[in-house]
Amino acid sequence: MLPHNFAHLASAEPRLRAVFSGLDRWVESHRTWPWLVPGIVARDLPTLDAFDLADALGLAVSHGLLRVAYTVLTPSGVLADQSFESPSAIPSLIPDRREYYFETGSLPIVPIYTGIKGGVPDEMAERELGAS
Amino acid sequence: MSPDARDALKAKVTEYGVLIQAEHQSSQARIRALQNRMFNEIPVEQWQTAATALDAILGKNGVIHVAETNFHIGSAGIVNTGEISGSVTGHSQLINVNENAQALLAALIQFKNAVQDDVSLTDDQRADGLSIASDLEAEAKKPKDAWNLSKIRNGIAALKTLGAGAQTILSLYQTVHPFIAAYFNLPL
Repeated sequence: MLPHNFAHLASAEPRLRAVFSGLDRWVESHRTWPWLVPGIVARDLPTLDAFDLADALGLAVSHGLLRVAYTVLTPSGVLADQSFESPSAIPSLIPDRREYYFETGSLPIVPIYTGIKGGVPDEMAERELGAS
Repeated sequence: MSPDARDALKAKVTEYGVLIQAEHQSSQARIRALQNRMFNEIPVEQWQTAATALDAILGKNGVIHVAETNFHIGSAGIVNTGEISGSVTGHSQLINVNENAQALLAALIQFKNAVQDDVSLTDDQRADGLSIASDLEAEAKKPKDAWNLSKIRNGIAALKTLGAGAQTILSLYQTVHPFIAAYFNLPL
């Protein structure tokens, strides 16, 4: 699940106070979502500056509230099931949920943010969940 | 990140955001190509900020729309139930990726891996098997109207011939042939 206590990070970066408040509101209204996609948040909160949102999410990562991973947007508009630690770590072929492999090289990269424990549909998260 | 570096990064991401949006009919491939170019032009430690800001710009402007899928938590972590409640909209174009193509490419990869690992094959058999599979793979990645059906038929025949002298390849051929036939609409 996503954390919903971003507001306290505003003490570390007061200029981002409005962004953290927005993130808290967004998470509150998406309680069942395991991940946060910047493009969706920006669409839902259009007054937020894209770079301020990136800075706020980066700060949440550095404070251990969130983890960032990268995946690709499949041709059907759905995020691929697997996500990876870096854009450069995305393999050229990954399987869909029916085990059919598809090429990733021409698909847009999408960053996804998840809570530190649980909530990311990838092997990286499962390894961590298994270890915890 | 220093203020100067942040300003430079902001300018770079804005530049790519404008580039992508200016194309009005940006395909997924074009968006990815521009993303790759952007990543190549900035230090790795700035990728997170850049990827996030660019995604926010594109999401806000409807260039990329991520379908909202439902997830539930299982014992092994998250399982995607695949319930799609959205669609790709905005200026993104859908790329028609045929599921048969994915199946064929996966089968050819498995074929090549098996041939590569089989110590019972001679070097020539291995090289020929890999070469034919690569040729078929290259054809499968082309648009339908660019397929060289003669080359594809010759590749199938060559695999069959090769299989006559190597049981492993014959067995693999029998597995991969239905995928090739289905994708290229050829008789089995």
